[in-house]
Amino acid sequence: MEENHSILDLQVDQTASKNLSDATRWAKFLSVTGFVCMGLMLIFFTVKQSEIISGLSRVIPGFTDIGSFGTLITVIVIATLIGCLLMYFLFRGSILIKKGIETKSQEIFNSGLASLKNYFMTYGILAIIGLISNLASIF
Amino acid sequence: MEQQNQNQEADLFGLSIDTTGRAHLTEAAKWARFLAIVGFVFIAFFAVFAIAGGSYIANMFGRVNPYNEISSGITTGMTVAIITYYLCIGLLVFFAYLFLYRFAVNMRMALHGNNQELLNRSFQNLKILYRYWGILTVIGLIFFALIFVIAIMGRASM
Repeated sequence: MEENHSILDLQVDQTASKNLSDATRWAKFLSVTGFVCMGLMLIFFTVKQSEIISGLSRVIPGFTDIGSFGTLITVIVIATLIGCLLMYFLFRGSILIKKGIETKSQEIFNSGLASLKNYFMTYGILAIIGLISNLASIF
Repeated sequence: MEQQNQNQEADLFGLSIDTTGRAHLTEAAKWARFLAIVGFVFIAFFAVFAIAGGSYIANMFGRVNPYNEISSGITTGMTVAIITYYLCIGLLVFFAYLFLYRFAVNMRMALHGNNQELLNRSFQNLKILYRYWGILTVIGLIFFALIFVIAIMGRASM
């Protein structure tokens, strides 16, 4: 196995461990809350779909056809999946970083950092897509 | 013998930000900084629209009742309240992006200069960021739970 350790590496000392442990505790709470909210939103749309359709058809003319409803469902499902993916990265990152700190396992700690990186990267890509779509709608 | 030395090194130093971890944190800091800057720009636009929107509402109501001093006073008060409300929301979100930015910038400088203090400060900002969002989430959940309970009680009493 390739040795990545060096005496000159930055250390995860007591202060950093404490800060990271606290951060991962809150991150885990946020990710679990996110999952629950996403699930509740899906359940709400499933249970109240007829009321939502009638409400939207009053606001948006021509919404009553199956194609529009199918598009709405697709958008909701995609948005929920993306949200769940973000929460998954945050949850996984928090669990692995905490476990890495507790067991002093460099590999698990690095896996946690990878998940954290993926979380920020996914958020960043979504932000770029959002910016481009907003700019496109303006121009 | 080599395995023993490696284990001793790990025990001596505990966890470290090795080459792999460094790569992950560099990338994370890059994206976090981008998100924070986008967030700052978004909040600036949001603040401008909040003030402009409030002034527009004041103008509209002023034209409807230009001679009624009491109603124009109420309208001005409501407009100020609405603008203040949205600016407060903007301020809350601003602080979250500030902590994210500080995490990213400190991490970048820490990895660049191999600075332990900056690394710790970066993780501290990450902790504050998640704690901040966590507390706001708890407040939001309590608020929604209260509304839900009041709605159910209202329906039950009818």
